[in-house]
Amino acid sequence: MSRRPPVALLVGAPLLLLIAGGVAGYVTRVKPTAAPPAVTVVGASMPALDVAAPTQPLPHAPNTAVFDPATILGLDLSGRVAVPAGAAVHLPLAAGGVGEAVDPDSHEAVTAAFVPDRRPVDAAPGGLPPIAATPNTQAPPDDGSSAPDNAPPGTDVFTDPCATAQPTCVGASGDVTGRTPDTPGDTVDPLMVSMPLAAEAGYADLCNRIEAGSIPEPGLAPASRPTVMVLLNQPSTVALTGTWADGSTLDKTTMTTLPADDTEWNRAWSEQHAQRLLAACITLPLDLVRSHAKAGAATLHVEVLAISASGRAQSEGQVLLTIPTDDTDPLFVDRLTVADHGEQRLADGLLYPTVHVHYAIVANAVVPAGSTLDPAKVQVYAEHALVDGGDCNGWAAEQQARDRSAGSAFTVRSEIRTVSGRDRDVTVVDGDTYLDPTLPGGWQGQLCLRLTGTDGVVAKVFTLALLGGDVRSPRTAEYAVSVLLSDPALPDGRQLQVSWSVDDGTLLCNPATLTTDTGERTGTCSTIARLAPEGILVALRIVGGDAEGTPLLGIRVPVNTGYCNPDDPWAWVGDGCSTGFNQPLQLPLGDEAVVRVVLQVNRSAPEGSIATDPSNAWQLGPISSFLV
Amino acid sequence: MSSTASRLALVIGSLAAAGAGWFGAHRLADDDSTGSVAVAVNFYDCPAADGSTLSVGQLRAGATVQLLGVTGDRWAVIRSPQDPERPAWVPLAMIRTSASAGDLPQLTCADAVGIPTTAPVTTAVVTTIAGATTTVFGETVPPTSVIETTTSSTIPIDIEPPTVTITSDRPYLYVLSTTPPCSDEDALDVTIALADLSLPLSIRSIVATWDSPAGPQTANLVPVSGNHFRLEVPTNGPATGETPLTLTAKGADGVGNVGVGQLVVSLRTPLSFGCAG
Repeated sequence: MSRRPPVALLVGAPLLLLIAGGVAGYVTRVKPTAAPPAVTVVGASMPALDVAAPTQPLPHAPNTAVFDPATILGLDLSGRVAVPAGAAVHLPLAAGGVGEAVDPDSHEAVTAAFVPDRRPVDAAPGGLPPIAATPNTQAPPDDGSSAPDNAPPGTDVFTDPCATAQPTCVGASGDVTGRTPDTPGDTVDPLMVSMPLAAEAGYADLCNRIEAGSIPEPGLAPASRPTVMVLLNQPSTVALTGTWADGSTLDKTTMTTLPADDTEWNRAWSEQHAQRLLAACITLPLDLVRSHAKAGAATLHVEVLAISASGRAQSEGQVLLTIPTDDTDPLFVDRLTVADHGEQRLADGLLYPTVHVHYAIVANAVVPAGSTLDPAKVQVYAEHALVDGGDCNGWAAEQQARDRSAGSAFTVRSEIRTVSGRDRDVTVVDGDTYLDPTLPGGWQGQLCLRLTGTDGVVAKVFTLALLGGDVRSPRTAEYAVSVLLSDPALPDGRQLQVSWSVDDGTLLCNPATLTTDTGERTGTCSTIARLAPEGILVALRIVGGDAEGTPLLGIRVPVNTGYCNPDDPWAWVGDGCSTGFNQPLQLPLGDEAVVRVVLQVNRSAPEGSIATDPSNAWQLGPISSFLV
Repeated sequence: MSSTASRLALVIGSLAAAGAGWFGAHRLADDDSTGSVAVAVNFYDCPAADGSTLSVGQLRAGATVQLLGVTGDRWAVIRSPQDPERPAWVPLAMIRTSASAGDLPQLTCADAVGIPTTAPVTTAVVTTIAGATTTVFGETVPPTSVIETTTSSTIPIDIEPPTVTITSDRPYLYVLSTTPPCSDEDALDVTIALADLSLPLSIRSIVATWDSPAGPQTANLVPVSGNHFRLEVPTNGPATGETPLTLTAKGADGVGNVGVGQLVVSLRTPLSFGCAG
């Protein structure tokens, strides 16, 4: 016999057990013990640093003009020879030879390094240039729009009025999430595409490897091809459009990237969290470039759009593309070309305005007609200089012009090439020449190359070639960093000492002592961006009284090394270019007293439009030969 | 349905109901199942790396803050909710912001949070290239344990005019010339600096005056950028030699006090200095 359970049991039993399960679940709930705690009283000790504040770096500031060549995938930098300013490079004429830095007179090897003059200057008293003050955004006490900290549950959360103020306050707004990210630690920097470069600026072999023969004229030597390249910090698809100097347009085309580089990029990121740089190249048809060229060079205004898995980025700039011409000088297989290499960060941390130099000479033409040089013993030396106060002729022959270069780094190799139907020993020279970074932005002068030949006999030194052209260096922004002691009086006769320096400890300006006693309440240090690319370190400390040397605050003022022009409204929008800020700070002195200081940063850059006046690039004139 | 099957269904259903009740109550009673979300985040007054610092307040999740800077990769420096001019430190990982590293200054408080304790920025040996000065900055001091500091500073009423300082790139300039080297020095770059407690500061005027054979002369300067100006004198220089040229600038502070500064340079006639033509 079968009997079904009563309805009351069918309904009541599950309901009863549901309630019982709920009670059990509440009793056995997981209590919030992980840091940061849900409820912490003010005055609680900070838990371990890794728990309270795990590392969560912000993405790096994008910079389309300055990059580290060592991070470029596939770029071979081996065999470079450092050449101090004023030294020459010995050019081997036979296959297998290597270049060497030598004294231009004695031809003995030299290794001295260049040290730019970075003596600090006195901080200027006063000097708080006019910048609009940060608006007072403090809410009235009875406003109620911003709840204080420790607000009891159920009340509105705190909102800093500055975060919604117009104009916005100094800094950046942020939301308290209360949650550590799911993927703490490094994240990939947003996509950045560099300003366009001519591949002849030391990247010819790199682009040759990337394009792998898929170019209009594969028989042309890589350094002689009209190739445009950009650098990317993520695997991307890159499109290029352009406008020639004569106004005609270049059809949109896709730049070439190497899938193997993408694979290597992913490996480097996953294994080392290193975000390497990738190159994208496009070689244009020689006839196309020739039709827009004057004196062997064509100027192309390039716009680049890159799209990656995480976003898109754009850049633009002017590229000077040189094409092979029928030069009459039999010495040169590749004529001298000078290319924009932007600013390079060297070992001392400074940004050096840099041009790339390329040329190749044929060994059997180094003995000038009519000379008495012994062809079997002849040695060739090259000097490279960035001169002002005269032209290349004055520099080479009359010692009038002054060499303002900071040194060079050259790669010299010998190879066999077919020249006029015969195999010849050819010496190929590629290198970077650096300008003294302490010179103001927009320095103008000439780049000069002098080749000399000698067979070792005293007084038998012949100038084989003297070439050069006008150049103007990239501009750089100026920074004036001021500290104002904005306090009625420091206690106990204390004083505020301010110093301005860079990472290696080099002072940008001599320290200033601010005091309310004598009335010297402000100090200003002015410098240029390329002397402090990693930021200007401002150290505040209290001196005098019983607080000798007490550190108060260290501030690393970020420096925007990209040339963004505050006079150009579009650059302002596009580059996030800021003219500076004005930040009042109340700093504790340790005994419940405080000192009020104002940090003011004023960034300025000369007028001009980047689109029509590429101030963040070298301006390079045509190369000409000087009679010697 | 058989009796056995009915009873089995009753037992299973009841157990399922019990499990559902336990699970629901367990989840609802938890603040967060992962333990990584907190309703409040502590903020600190210059936190120390050894955990000895005490919190000075809390921010609830959802709060909107203004970042003044960062300290290393761990801390965001915000305007303190208690005193907007007072910096406060919050774990950077607990903040969602679109700022990049180039947008914000790095602030290192006296205890050098986030900086390697062996070589904090403020304890670095600072040397000059010239080698004349070596100064050791910022010996580390014991960490302070400030629970709550409510302070305010009062700026006195400002009746003092701003200090106006004029500097130039050269103590002289030539009347406009086409002949080197005078043509290289026929413009004067002038910088005006204002100093005062009451911000903002603004430059009211800048003018150059001098005497010439034709009588008193004045010239305005051309703004270059910010507080930089340029002076060129096309005509009406001295007949020979040089004459004093006075630069006079006026600047105002935030409460309307006006200060005046002057600088005297020399105005030269090119002909008297070997620049014919």
